[in-house]
Amino acid sequence: MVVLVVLLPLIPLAVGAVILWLIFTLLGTNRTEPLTPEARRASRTSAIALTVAAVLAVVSAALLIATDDYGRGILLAGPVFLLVLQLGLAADTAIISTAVRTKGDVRVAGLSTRRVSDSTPRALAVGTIVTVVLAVVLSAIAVSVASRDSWSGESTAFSSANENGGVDVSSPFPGSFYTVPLVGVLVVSVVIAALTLAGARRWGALNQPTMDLALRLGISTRSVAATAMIAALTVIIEGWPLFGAALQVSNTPDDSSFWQIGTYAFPIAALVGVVIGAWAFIAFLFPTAGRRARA
Amino acid sequence: MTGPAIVVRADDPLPPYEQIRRQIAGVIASGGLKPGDRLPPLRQLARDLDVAVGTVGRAYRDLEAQGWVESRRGRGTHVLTPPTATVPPPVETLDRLARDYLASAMELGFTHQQAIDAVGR
Repeated sequence: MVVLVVLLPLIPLAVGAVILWLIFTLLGTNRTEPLTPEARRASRTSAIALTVAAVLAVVSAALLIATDDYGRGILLAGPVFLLVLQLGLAADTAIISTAVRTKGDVRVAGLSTRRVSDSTPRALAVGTIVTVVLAVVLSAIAVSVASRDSWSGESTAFSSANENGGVDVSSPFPGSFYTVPLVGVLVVSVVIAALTLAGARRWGALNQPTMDLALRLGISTRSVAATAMIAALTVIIEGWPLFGAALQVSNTPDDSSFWQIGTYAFPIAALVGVVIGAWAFIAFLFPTAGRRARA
Repeated sequence: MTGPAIVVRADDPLPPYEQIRRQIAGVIASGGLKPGDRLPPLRQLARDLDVAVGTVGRAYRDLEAQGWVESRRGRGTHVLTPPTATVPPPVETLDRLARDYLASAMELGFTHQQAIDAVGR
């Protein structure tokens, strides 16, 4: 839970940064060319959808924290916050494809095939897949080695025999009580990211190609980044306590080569989670920075 | 948007499928699309141009019938080598087409010179 204490102050910082960035986007102060009415409507709709999603995300996270159960609500607040933002992005693709485009007298279309990969951040997507796999593996390990806590009555502890013939117990530990809902959020996030990537390819081209492309890149990148951050949080939440468990087991009768490897592997995994999480956070704030269209 | 593009105009006397067919044939003839290049899926082009999928489908079918493209189920529509006439066409045909073009352009309010300049572009 030390990890949580470290991560909690980051959540309001993240919320503040996202809201500031949305206002910046909404005001259109980062535009170098005038927008067509359709592009302006798409830009504003996108910013409003994300702002509404951010407000709902804060409410969802606050509700989880308010109804906390042995720290599970606090643990899920960050991932659920990101998941609700992601839902807003998915809704945004539907809004743009159905409500934003106007019936104009003149319509222009390119003759190149638009692919999901055109707007997908490839490096971040690869990093996200790796982190999701890592999160699932660490979650499976944590659930399998956890034990029932006598205080909560749930799978929230880790116990091992000590050198003196007694039992050492660490709690809280990410057993199934914490991990199952966390992995559930991660799985839903992966599905939403896939749907959003498909949705960002689907809508008919706006009459301002630069804005059209910026929106496709922005929505795709932010959705993938949200999944990456959820996976990274999961890796940190699972990896760090597993490292603690590996240290607890070392030089005891329960020690084995698995735990010896874990002494190095679990903190490295947690560090990977920190790095990917930071990368994804920056990508979420600046989704089109340094990227060019392949369309 | 990079690469060749086409335009559908609501005020054009030609039906949308014919606008699409002519422009794609023109792009292929001018080398904007090479043999083997893939045309966008029907739904993508229909969404982009705000027309029915059937409208784009008809344009693609006509292009296929005239030998400009080839459609295969599940593999999309690909550009073929531009069709060439086996017998040289009569010069009068070209003259008639040019006159028709000039007449159409001037009916829309363009000058003779504007129409000639557009061909050069």
